[in-house]
Amino acid sequence: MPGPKIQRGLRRAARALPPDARVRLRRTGGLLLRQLPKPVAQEIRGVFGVRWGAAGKRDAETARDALGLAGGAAASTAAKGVPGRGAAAIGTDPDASDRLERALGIVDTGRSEAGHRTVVGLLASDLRASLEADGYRVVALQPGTSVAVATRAETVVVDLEAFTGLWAGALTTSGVALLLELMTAVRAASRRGATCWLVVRGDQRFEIGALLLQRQSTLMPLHPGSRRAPVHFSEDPGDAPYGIADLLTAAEETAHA
Amino acid sequence: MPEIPASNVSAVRVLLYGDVNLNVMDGSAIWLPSLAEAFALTGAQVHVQLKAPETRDLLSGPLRRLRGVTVHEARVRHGEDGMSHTRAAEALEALDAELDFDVVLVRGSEMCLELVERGRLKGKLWSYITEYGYIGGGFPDALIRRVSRVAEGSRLMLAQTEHARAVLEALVPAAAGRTELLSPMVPDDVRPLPAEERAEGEMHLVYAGKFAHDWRTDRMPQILEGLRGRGLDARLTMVGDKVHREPKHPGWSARMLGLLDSPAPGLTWTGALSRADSMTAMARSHVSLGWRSPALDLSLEISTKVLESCALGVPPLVNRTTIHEDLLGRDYPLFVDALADGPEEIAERLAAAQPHLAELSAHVLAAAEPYRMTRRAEALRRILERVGAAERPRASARPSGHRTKVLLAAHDLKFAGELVDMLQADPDVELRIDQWETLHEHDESASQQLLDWADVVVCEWAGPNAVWFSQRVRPGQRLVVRLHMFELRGGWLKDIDTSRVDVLVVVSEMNRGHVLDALDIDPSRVRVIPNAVSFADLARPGREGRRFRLGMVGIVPLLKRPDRALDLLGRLRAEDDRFTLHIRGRMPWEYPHVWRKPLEREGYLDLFARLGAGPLRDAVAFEPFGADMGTWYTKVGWMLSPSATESFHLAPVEGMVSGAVPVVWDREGARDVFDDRWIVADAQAAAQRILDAEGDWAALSDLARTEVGRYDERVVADLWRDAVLPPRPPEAPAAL
Repeated sequence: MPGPKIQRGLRRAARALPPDARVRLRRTGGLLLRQLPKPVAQEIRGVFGVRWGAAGKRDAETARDALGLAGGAAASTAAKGVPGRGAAAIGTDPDASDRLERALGIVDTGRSEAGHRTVVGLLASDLRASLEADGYRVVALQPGTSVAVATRAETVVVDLEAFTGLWAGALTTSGVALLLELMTAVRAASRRGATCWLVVRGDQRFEIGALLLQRQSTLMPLHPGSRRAPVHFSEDPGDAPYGIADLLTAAEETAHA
Repeated sequence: MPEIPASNVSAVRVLLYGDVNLNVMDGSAIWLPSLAEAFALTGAQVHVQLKAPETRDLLSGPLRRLRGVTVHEARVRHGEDGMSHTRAAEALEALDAELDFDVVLVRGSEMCLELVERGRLKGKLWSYITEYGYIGGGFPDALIRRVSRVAEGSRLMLAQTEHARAVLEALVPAAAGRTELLSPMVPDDVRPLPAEERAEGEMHLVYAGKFAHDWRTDRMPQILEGLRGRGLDARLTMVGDKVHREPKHPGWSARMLGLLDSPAPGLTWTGALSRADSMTAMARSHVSLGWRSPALDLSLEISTKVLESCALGVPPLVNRTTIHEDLLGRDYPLFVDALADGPEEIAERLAAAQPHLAELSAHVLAAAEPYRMTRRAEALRRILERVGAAERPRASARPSGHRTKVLLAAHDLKFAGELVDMLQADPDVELRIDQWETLHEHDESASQQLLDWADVVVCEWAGPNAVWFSQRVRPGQRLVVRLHMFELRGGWLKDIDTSRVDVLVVVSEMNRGHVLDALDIDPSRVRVIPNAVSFADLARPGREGRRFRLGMVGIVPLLKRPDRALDLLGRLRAEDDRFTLHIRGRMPWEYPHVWRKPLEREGYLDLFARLGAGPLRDAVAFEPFGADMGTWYTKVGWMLSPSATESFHLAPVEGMVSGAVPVVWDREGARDVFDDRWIVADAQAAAQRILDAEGDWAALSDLARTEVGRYDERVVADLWRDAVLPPRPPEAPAAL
């Protein structure tokens, strides 16, 4: 490969040409080079300081930002030559949720100024209101950032009556991607030691996704309207205050606005 | 729906193969003769390849007697009791070489994979795979990989239910857009018995099948006890003799046998019965028992037994699941909460339903109607029409030496799905693909060989591929080039020898104008062929509440104007906070070539920061990029197209097929693709339009769906056929 001095000289000479001539020369040169075997063409391009495949690398190097969002490009998972929609398939970026949350702004999941705990999750409005009335802060999980937010949660609540709005359909087979995201979020929280509650109530509790959530070992099911499961009197005579669990169990069996 | 071209189903040849042994009577074996019968009812010529030599003719006998069905013996070596996958593939390929089938429908992922890897049935393989279940363990990664490979090599994938299709498309991108439903079926003559032949008594229950722990057969006698305890004259007939051993539940099988051997009052155990007698026992009853452990509730399939019960007018008692709610309705009174209910609760429910049994019988009978054989045959006929087999059966193809040899050259075929399908399905076409490594790179000697072979060259993208071929096509060789939009910025564009291009295809009138500005080309050679959408794939039932959901697909680059969508959302939520925005696509930082541009990057950072800090943060869902768009559109009520420029904008058009109403910001070319009624001047007008439509959304949805019929894949395929294939020379008169 020629040294930088030679490359600079060649580039200076090229710049001395009128623009039209320069374009013609580049095109003709490119055409000729494409007729040559790849390694030979690569060597000749190197004389002018052009590196093969350098554009992609240069893109990646310069595509930086202060929030560290860059780098989430997921590679294609489709086999070469697959026609149609499947051709656009890409893999998943494990940090996608973190990146999006950084772009939107980090959600505060710490305790309130008064020292109350923050409950993170999906809650219907009645449950949210009753928690807030008892001093809890409530942070709603949203599709896209749920994993990042849940990772910092002290406790997570998933209310089967809250699968509306942004989460509508997640309990059905048409919401597979949403439910997978939520399950990842719950697993992430649980792995860090957060207790994750599942409030089993409402008409959607027989949807296939609800049945699946009820089988997750990471989620503690609570059934509003049911009496607390009896334990031995020496462990719990029945009146020990269980805080959030008591509040969740006291919810209505069907949410009301 | 678009108009359907003439059909010639009677010339269609279908080959069926199930990786099942017809000597063994089970659900998957029964499927094969049922499917053969349904296909025969379409009028197609049906061939069935057997897997195993016949040792009894319980299933194969009736199959052979079906009109229009030809059965082919298993080709096994001495001592083998069934064909291996390799032998079966050889047998299917040999039959295809002889009869040139339009459809080769195969069940079983391993068998389908074998055929895909061999690659000889390309364009005609329909793969039916049922081995997968729901997420959370039901569809393991290894199976996803195998099914993905199968989907990549299949013309169609088949799924048993809408739920199975949704899961398949979500986890196997290659299946998206090419999965059809193949529902289970019940024979037309399975009907209720006349009233006088029904069992006497107030509540006659029946259970038919295996005796197993998760099937709760040991607890069914307690239901009987509960009913009799309530003073009802109740009976229970249990049919079958297979008692599972249940190693995880020691003592269970002995207990089950004990219950059967010394039956409680009102319980009759018949032992094993023939299929006909078993159906009669069920038909005589008032209610069939299908109570199961919740462990079985994550199935994506409909039990044929439940369907048969319905077809006999016998209401089934089943777990409340999504599948059963779809079949029987949410208010059906004989659902069981599998997690909470025991025999007592079930007996209570049955006792309460007893006075309404006649009404329930009529209800379940109606529920079974869509699964009758004749109805399923109609559905199969529609699929044959979708893939073009009904219109152009291979039996009517020209001799192989006279077919048009088409070469498709491209680095990326993601927008060419319909084109590839159309060319592969056309029996008068031989298709080969010159897959370029990148936009610029390819194997020149391979391209040259393919060029020498071809009659017609189609360049997908007017990229360097179009330059290369336009400079080399022979006189008389046809060259068709499709230009999307980005190519207009390409330095190579002027190097395309336009005098050698027979047809230059663009997707919209606007692009036609741009091309005529940019290229020295005869205007008559520039033809508009719009992007295609598939009604067969995308016209799916919409979901509740979609009227309040805005959808946007793709927010990169900034000219897609996600800011306008947010502006609209803010205005709508000021009036009604049920409105939400669902964005699907990749984030800008996932595209290095976009993210390295300071202006774009800063624009996005600002946009995200404002969204994050404002009240809309809780009203916007960022959903990951996925190929399963058909499912996604069903939840969207309004498809947004706020872009500053688009050559076509496929997403809102696809959404319209699914019943979403488009909201398109006015821009150059928008009115060429969308009717004026869908175009708005700005976010304020868009908000007004949406809020005003409160009671009219359904009518708008119907209108949108009707209007995009002109973009259906079958209509567009005809335009492509006209552009790609040279006019067919008149047939020489037959020699007398």
